[in-house]
Amino acid sequence: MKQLIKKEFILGWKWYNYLFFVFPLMVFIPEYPLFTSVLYMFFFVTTLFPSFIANNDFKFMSGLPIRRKDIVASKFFNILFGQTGTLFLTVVCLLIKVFVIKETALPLIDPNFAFIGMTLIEYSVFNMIFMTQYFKDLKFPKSVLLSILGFFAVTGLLEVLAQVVPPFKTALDTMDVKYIGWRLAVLAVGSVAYVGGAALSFRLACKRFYGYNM
Amino acid sequence: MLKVENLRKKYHSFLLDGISFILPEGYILGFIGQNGAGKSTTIKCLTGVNSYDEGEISVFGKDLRTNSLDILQDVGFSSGAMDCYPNEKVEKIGKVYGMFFKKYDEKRFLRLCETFHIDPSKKVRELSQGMKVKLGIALALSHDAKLIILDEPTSGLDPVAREELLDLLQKIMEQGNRSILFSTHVTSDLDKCADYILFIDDGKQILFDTKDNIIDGHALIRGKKDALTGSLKERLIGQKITPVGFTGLIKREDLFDSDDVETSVPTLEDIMVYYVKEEIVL
Repeated sequence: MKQLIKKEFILGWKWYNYLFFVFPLMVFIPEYPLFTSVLYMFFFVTTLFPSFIANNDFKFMSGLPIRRKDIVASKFFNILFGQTGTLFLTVVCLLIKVFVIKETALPLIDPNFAFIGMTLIEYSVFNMIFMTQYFKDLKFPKSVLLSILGFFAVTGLLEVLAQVVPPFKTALDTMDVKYIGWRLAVLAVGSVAYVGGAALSFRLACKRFYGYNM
Repeated sequence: MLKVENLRKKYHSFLLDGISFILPEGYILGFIGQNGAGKSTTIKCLTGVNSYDEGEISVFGKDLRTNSLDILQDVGFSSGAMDCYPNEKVEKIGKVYGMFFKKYDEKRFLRLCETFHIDPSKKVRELSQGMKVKLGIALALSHDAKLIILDEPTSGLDPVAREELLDLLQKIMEQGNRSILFSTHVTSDLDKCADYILFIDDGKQILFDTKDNIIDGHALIRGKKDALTGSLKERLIGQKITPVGFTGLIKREDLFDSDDVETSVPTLEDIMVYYVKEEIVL
């Protein structure tokens, strides 16, 4: 497993993949809509996976002493690394934006705990669809399209909730300390959804991949 | 070294059924069959790439289902040309490949590259088709594998490269303690080097025995058209009928002194063709 992850970085990750970690700096743009920062992870998925296909990565792995679940885990690791890496860097940049630049009122959701929680829920939906679809038949375009559609559906739903529905709008789209409990609750739900969703996606992807003939 | 019993695998509408053979230590098994016969499906089961539905595969005396990680440490597998990560250098590919094998020896890999005239500083895409095949074999041999499985290694090679590859397989065998399973649809590749032959068609096993027994056990017969009586026709495995006569393949045990035919020793290609195409009328 350790070797497979190492292999992903040596053969899979190219210099331009690391450049995507620079994108969180965009949150320093005044009135930057945070919603778009959630999309950075698409760059990792849509460049890494087609590159694995173009490089006959599955052929390279055939005959290596590895288990199928390790293959699933190593591929999933790329996505999780891209998601958590960009989210972490976005949060670091937001801390500077909020506490140093003092810009807190942004279009759509404000830079608060609810934003992180919502992002984790959206990632979780993406992972669940992508992993279970991709490891059913290794068809990337269909899998990524379905998972992006699912991702946008849940993102739209959460944004509508936070922008339109009164109790949520009052409590979530604000930096008011009075409602911090609500926002922490969203963060907690997001964290559970992300970790639990990742575990479930992994199990389902393994199950589907075991039935796939390479 | 390798024992397969009643291997069965369903794959969409294709069924690999009842494949059984053994490959003892120190021998080369030629695995033949036309394209789509099920050779690659069988090999993918043997190398743990795909699962199988029924049957037993035992390698080095261990069950493949429960010991695949241990077993694959001592198996070298190469499937045609090594065309993975074409923009990477050969030496880097070797290093990454070696991370997965406890007995990987980088010096050995570089020595093999030298033997095959592969420049390790070249990118994979800069190698010719024949060189890519050799690179796959160099990788398969770089970790001192005891069982070497080569899926269509001569496919796409020119006659000179093929000859070199076959010589190389002989050299590998001279090092002892190794066995090679070598699949091909070009039977002439095996005339020189195979000890055993496994022949499958449409997912079913047709023949498995030593190459000599298979060749000695069959005869190629030739005769005039009127010599092809009903009784002889029933005993033939396959026949080719021309306006003036016929040729056919028959088991030696089914050939009688009273048959008015000329006999000759068949090649593996004759055997394969007549088993697959039972009757050819010209």
